[in-house]
Amino acid sequence: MSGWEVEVIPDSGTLFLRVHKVHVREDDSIAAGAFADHGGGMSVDWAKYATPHDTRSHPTKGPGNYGAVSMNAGHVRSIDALKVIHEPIKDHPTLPDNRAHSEVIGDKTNEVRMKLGRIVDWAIRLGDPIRASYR
Amino acid sequence: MAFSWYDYPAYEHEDDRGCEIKNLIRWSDDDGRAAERRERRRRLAKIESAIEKSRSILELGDDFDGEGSPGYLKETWERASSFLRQLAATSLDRFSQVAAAPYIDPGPNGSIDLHWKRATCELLVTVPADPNTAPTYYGDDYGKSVVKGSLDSDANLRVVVLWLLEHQG
Repeated sequence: MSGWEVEVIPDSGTLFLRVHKVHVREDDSIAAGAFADHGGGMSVDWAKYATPHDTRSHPTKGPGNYGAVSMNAGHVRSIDALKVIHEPIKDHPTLPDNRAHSEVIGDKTNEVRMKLGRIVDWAIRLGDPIRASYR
Repeated sequence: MAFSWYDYPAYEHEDDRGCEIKNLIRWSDDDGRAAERRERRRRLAKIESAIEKSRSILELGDDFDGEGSPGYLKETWERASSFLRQLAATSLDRFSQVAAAPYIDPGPNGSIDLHWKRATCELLVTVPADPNTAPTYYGDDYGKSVVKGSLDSDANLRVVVLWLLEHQG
């Protein structure tokens, strides 16, 4: 399906995860519910091909409902055997093209979700100004 | 410190006042129990407040996040609330301590998360949407002390309560 080469994301790579406002608490902390699989894994964008503004954008719901957090690929892999796989999307019947698209594969147990919460930092907070995405 | 009359043991009033004293003793007992109930409510107020605040989870319908996530069933929320009340009551009744109030958050696949995130420890309990599946938990103190498993028995609940009380700081 992909028209782009699948690359190996190095441990030094940065990943962005879109976070819906429901998973952001009043004190700005991120609820563990933000770290969930949708389909085969937890979808993230590799910073080599995306900005956090790209990640924040959503095909139907708009960027205002979301923030974006960043995490280090090596730190993700250090959690309970999680895998980080580059999985670019090109010419998909329903999804927009996305060369940055990647998946965090592995069970999102309570332990995993809690530990993911410890390694993320805000890249764009919920209330931050909305900028254009080039995707 | 001011004392009300029922702070003193009833026998101190039992000398030459007959029936009037009996009433006083009964009032004393009733007022004492009422005071205990008030104190119990006061100690559990933060838990109840967190539960009430989390009711808004029920307003989230299917695909609320644009990722296809399901909404939340009232039964799941009630189960999570009931579990939390049980945990708080166990803390108070068995260990005479008050458990801190957790975050109550929407979890994955219609589950509800109870998340204690403290400076000294972190504990995540997930109450699944399937009523036939027991809640699961994982907690650690950012170091060596780890607790995890399934809340399928009162014994496991006591283990979690004790761990939380020892680590919550």
